Amino acid sequence: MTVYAGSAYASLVMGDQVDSGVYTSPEVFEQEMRRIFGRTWIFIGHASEVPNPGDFKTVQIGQWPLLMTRHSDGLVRVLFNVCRHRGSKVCYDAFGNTNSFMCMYHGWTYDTAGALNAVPLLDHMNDLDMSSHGLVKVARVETHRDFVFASLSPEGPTLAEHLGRGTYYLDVMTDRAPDREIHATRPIRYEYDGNWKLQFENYCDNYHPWYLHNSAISVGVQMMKEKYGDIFASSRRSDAIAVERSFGAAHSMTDFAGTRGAMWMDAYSDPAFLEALERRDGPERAKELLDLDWHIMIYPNLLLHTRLNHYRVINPVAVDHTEVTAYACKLGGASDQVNDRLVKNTAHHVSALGEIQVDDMQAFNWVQKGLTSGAVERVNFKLRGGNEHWNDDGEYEWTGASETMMRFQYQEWARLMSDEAR
Amino acid sequence: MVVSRDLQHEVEQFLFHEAELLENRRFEEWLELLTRDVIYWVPNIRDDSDISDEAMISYEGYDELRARTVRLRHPLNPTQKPPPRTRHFITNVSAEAGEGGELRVRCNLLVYVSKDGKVVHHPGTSEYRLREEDGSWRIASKKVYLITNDLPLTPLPIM
Ligand code: FES
Ligand SMILES: [Fe+2]
Repeated sequence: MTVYAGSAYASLVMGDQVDSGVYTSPEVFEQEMRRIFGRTWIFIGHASEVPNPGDFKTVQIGQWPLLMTRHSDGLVRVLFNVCRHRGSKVCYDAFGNTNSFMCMYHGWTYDTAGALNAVPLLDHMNDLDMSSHGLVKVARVETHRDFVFASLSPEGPTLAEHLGRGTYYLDVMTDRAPDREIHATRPIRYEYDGNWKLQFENYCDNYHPWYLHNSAISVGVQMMKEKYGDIFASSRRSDAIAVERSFGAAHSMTDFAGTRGAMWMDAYSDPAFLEALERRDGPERAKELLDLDWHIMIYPNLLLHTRLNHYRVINPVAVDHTEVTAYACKLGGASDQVNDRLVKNTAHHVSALGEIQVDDMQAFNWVQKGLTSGAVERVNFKLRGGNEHWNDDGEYEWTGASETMMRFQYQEWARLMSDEAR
Repeated sequence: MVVSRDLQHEVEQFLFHEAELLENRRFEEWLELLTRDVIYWVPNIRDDSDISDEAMISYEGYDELRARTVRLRHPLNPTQKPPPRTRHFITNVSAEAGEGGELRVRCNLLVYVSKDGKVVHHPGTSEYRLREEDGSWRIASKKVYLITNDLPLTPLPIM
């Protein structure tokens, strides 16, 4: 096993090739957890997962057991689910509502802001200062339009600096709801035996679908034809071409721009949805928002999908094991008919009995095995997009499938993995 | 109300037959066991999750299940290279009369899946509504409660 010293991690990235060790080396993984997940902004959850005071969810990101709560003051907090007495855990459920967290070991009890407010046998303790023994808060928590991010590092760029143009995409994701609010539902979870970056890279990789998802796409189109006639072909603009962009440090997005035709548009067949957007934004913008078909990736662990209307959180467990949690979102102000369908479409897309994500999970397993064999030293990201250029919004933009965004991701990866990054 | 010994036997044989069809990838014959208005349902996270409100691991009707079987036969389906090998173990079968001449059947289920050098197992409980059509039992609904439904999952075969 190669041992990489300090900034040597950066040398694993060689322009349009990367050393396969970035996917297979436990040492690289450990350093990624420290230098990337432990340093930059990581996505924790959407505030609508904890809509009411006392609501909480527990979430594991890497080695960190976290707790996202909404306290009686209405604020969302991110705390460590680790008791300040001797380190047991204080919350045992994936989600729920409570006014306190009692550690089952010796009964220390905390409120939903993390303050320690009860200690059995307190009178017999050596000078225990309860006020400094609340649950440990993550160093920084910032929220953009209800998307809650945390940084385990007290210093570094602000969330706005980290997101860059990403704030615009999160805004649009949210503003597609007539009420300008989206509401997360209970998540679907999947896992695979592969590195976390395989999922991140895959999400905007438009080189793969026709091959890897060939069976799902061709059978899906066939079934749609039997049911509704040839709406797929007729709804697909023949001149359409997908646009991709990289922005901020290592974030990216794909605008499918009509190339996927009516796929998943059944969810929006209730005319009241478009009407509500028209009343709000006028007919032109409303139609744009209705048709919007974007994949958005916020480095390192958040993926969003406008048309299926869900977001996914990547949790790296080990160098060769990853868990992903997908939250279908309801659109505030849309009918139950619309929202039911959105939730069902997301589930059908990502679940273990679903029809698309299972293909990707299979590929991730194959890739991990292949790279672990050591047979190939370098992985290739050589595909160029069409007309690559900087656009007026400061994003790097191109058309069609490419591996350009992976090259951006690895530039940022190399920067974050160096000793002096912040 | 408990059903007769003969009917209990018939129901058990029906469940074993269904399992055998799935294990042997006789998907088209499996489809013939379903009514046209079948609901195939695998709840997510908790058993009493609400279909109007929550994502499901599966919630499919006849057309979706037929599409699934076509995908399983497709030569370019990556999840079938090679296909998972499965065994369905069925125990604790109970049957009672349901509405409109239907039977309500419950059993425990343990599915073993061998895939890519790993064997994973999925214990759970299945609940069926069986309806008689053209002299044979058909599945009008099947709900599978996995005790693993709150964990991150790897791809599942038809349970
Ligand atoms: S470890 Fe929590 S009360 Fe002792
Ligand atoms: Fe994919």
